[in-house]
Amino acid sequence: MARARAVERALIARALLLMVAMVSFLASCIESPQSPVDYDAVVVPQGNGSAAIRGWNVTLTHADVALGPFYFCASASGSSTLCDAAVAEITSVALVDGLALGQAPLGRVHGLSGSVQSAAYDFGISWFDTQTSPTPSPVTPGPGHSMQLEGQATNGATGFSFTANVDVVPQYQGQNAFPTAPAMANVTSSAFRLEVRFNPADWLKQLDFDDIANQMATSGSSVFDIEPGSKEHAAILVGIKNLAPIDFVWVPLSTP
Amino acid sequence: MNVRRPHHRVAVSLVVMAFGASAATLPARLARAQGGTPAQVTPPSVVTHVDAEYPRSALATRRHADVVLALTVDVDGHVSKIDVIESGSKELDEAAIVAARQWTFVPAMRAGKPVASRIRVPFHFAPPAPPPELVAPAPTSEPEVPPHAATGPREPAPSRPPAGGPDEVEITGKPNPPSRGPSDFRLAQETLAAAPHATAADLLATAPGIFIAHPEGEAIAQRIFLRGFDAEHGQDVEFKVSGIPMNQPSHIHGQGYADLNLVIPETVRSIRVVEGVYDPRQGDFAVAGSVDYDLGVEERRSRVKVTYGSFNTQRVLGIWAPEGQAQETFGAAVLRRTNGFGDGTRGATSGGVLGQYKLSLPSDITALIHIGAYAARANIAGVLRRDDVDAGRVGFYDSYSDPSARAQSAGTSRTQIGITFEKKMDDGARFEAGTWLYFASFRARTNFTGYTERSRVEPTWVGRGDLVEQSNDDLGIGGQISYRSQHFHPLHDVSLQYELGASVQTHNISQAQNLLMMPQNQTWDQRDDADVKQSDIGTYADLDIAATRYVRLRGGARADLLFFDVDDKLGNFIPAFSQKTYIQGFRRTASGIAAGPRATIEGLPFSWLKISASYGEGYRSPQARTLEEGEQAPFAKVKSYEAGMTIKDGDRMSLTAALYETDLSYDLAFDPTTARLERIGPTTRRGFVGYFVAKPAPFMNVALSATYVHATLDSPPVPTPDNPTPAFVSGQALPYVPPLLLRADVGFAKKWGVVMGKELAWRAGYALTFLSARPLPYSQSSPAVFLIDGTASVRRDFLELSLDILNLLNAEYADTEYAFVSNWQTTPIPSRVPARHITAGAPRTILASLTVWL
Repeated sequence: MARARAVERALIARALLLMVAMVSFLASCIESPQSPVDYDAVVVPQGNGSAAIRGWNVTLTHADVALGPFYFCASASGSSTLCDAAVAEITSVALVDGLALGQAPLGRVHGLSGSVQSAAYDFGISWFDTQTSPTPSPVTPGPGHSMQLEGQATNGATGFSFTANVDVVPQYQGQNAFPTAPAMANVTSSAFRLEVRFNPADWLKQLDFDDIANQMATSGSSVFDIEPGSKEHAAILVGIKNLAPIDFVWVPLSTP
Repeated sequence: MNVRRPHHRVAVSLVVMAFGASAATLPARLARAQGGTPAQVTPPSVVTHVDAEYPRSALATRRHADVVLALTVDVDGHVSKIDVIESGSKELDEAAIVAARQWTFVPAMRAGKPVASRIRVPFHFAPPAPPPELVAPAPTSEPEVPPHAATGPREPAPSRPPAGGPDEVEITGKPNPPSRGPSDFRLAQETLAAAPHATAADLLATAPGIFIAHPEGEAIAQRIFLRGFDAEHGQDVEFKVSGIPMNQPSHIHGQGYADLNLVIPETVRSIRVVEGVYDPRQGDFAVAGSVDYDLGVEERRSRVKVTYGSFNTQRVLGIWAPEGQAQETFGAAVLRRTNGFGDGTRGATSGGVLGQYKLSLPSDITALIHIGAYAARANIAGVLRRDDVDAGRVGFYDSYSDPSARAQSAGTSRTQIGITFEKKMDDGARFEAGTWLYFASFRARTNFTGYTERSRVEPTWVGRGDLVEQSNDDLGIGGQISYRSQHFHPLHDVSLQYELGASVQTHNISQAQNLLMMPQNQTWDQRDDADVKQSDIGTYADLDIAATRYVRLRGGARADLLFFDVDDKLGNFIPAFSQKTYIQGFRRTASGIAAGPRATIEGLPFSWLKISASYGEGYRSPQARTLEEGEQAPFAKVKSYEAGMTIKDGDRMSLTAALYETDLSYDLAFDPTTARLERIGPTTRRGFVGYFVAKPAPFMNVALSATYVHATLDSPPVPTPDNPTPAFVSGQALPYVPPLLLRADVGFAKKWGVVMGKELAWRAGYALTFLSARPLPYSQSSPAVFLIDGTASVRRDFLELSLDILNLLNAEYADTEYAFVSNWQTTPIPSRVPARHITAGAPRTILASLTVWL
């Protein structure tokens, strides 16, 4: 009799434990509209490094570009004042070869599933809330620049080489260099790949190569160096920010 | 006397005396009248009582009647002699005697020794009424007999009844307030005392479905989770202490902020927890339910308790509880100091006094004077990012080393006084009136987000630390008045009683919110600066209709008029880049009326079974600062539904089970970036609760509860600039609330016998708490939590040694969790994706106490 009672009690205890476990399991499986996602981001340089710019054939021979960090936002504007909370992000800076023929790794995108409508990002030089001045990442080329470009420009028999140390610097403390940029996607899972596409040769489209040629003729130098603060540097920034900004493309991964 | 129990328990509209009230010995009164100083006698207190049953033979007359018995309670706490002082009829007298003979008591005490006593116990019989409640007195209840001051004669304390007969003690007290359904829980002293509780708020953990957290240190109110509600600091629960409202409307830190630290846990006699809105007396903030603290000290001996333990915690408590006075009469003072757990960022100093005096006035009026004061200052460790903890960048119990994180602290104080008058009419009606006044100050500096904020006043100021300073001064005054009628009998087998009541309160609130920059405490942004005048005028009507002995309907309606006058000094903000064309500021008024019915229907097919269903509508007032000029105050309206049953076997066992649903028109959730509550939209909670209370042996009591809730958001969250189209799915879970909460409180108390001429008694108990995995935003969940608290004590004569252990298993658990964006500079590049944050629950805490009974 006593044994039967003990068995009965044990059964009841097990049943109760099972019930608690089931309810606990159910409790942890409640609907939620967003979930964490984590996927690769790659750089996909476009073009072959050449561009025709107002009669000049421009060919880049070297393009080291620092990219990152990136913040992807649900708001239509990626301004830091409207994107305090991002949907996804790449919190690293990568030094990439802008003339590479294939894809190159950029980093991992961490974030949440959901809609992306804009992006805010830097070219290796950031000015975070807690920094008193714009600060380059250790991986920036130079070091300390957003990008280093080298190339040649020819126009008939005239030609010269040029180099450019480009600094894409945030305008205000707490803002990204690109506070807003278009980026549209609906990321539903981690089965995506983010492709960051750009053509560094297109960034030079605002440069006045005729003027540069005249300056070189005056100075007699064989290589034209573009440094931050110069009007040529400002022209490249216009190209980067306005004429040929980065494209963000989310590519769904096909399931095997 | 050997009287058989009737087979049919009938209508025991008995006003069972809960013996929380005063007592007086006739000799003592005589001695006092003659100017003598009598020795003090602690009256006996009820351990178990059995309801009297309306005798079948008296049903024919169906009349109401009073029976007053004189009971002799011997030194063992048993009833040894019964005399009828006032007769109701032969049948009723006998029914009262049958019940009273089964009562047991803690015997009367004189000079720490048990003595026999003779007490008067009035019974009121009404035919259709259901059985009375189990537990102790509550503040809204009805006094049957006015209390009297009580003292005993000056004479040596006998160890057995004195030769001249027992002390005559007149026991008076309050009946329990009528039940409002299965989720009207009364937490008795023996349940509350089973396990250790650090604060008065922690006592609530014994109630089904309640979990208490302390994420912001010891000077900021507890965070309470109740049956699927994250009630934060009180937004969804109406708190009263001895009838005085504790919720502070329009508090800057959280709507309905209620700091229960004013209550000294050793002075809590019982707690009534109503989960749901079914009682017309429930007012503002009774959304998830309401909690009434009933204060009293049962053992009428003064004492000093000294505690020392983990984290250099020191506590000194003194309680003055003169013998012969009512249990409501006491004075208590406490001082506490601790370094807190972790790396030295949880130190706290606090202290308070709490006292009440109950006295008799002419014309059978009793008065209860209440005074309480509390002040505390504490450092706050703040939150930690879970990824920082996991990566070892910061210890689980530590705080960020950042100066802005280390500057978190809070200082609060509250002083309150109140007086309540009660008058019992000859016809059984009751009149009650009370008034109260409090002043509460609050200043907190908290930083949840690190370095993410930008100054609104000077937009180029950024990254100076999100140390949010909040201040809130609240002067509140109010009162309540109520009249409860006698029983009417409009029809055969129908009994009717009504209550009409009104309550008023007015608050003068001054509040501000700024951002501070460490280490100089410089203000680098102003977010709020407002003066608020807020009034709440509420009225209610409550009917209690008993139709036959099988059915009872209780219910009525409540309406509240709220008025707001806001002087928002930073309203119509002029941005730095704008031309100043007007003077900043926005003064506005708003008002609104919230009204709704509440009703409970009970069926009593058997004496041991009660089936009930309840419905009620309640409300929560809006934060005044959110109102626009002339706006009809957008109350958060709640609809509560419940159906359940209670099986009761006398005082030996009670089992309650209920299904419930709560619909809230809009909910609030904590926003770490503003450090206050913001709207999230309508929500629904559905679930079930089971509550089992038993006394399997005379030395053992058990309380078990299980609460399950499915809490969901019913519409998409409010859009924000960051997220203009928030993601939403039907049935979206409300984060942070534990869906399943299990709780067990088990207590033991027994005498060990006599050691060296003095009685040795021991007491032990434990509490088990299990929280299932809590859903977090973004499909994440926190791990389940299992906690054990234990206590043990030994008492001999005037010395008691006790040991309390909280979190016996030293479980490392998150007290609360959040998800938001922060930047604590722990990584070179800050994240802007919302991340999990935690506040650590306390590790194992051992406290040893020595109590000297005076």
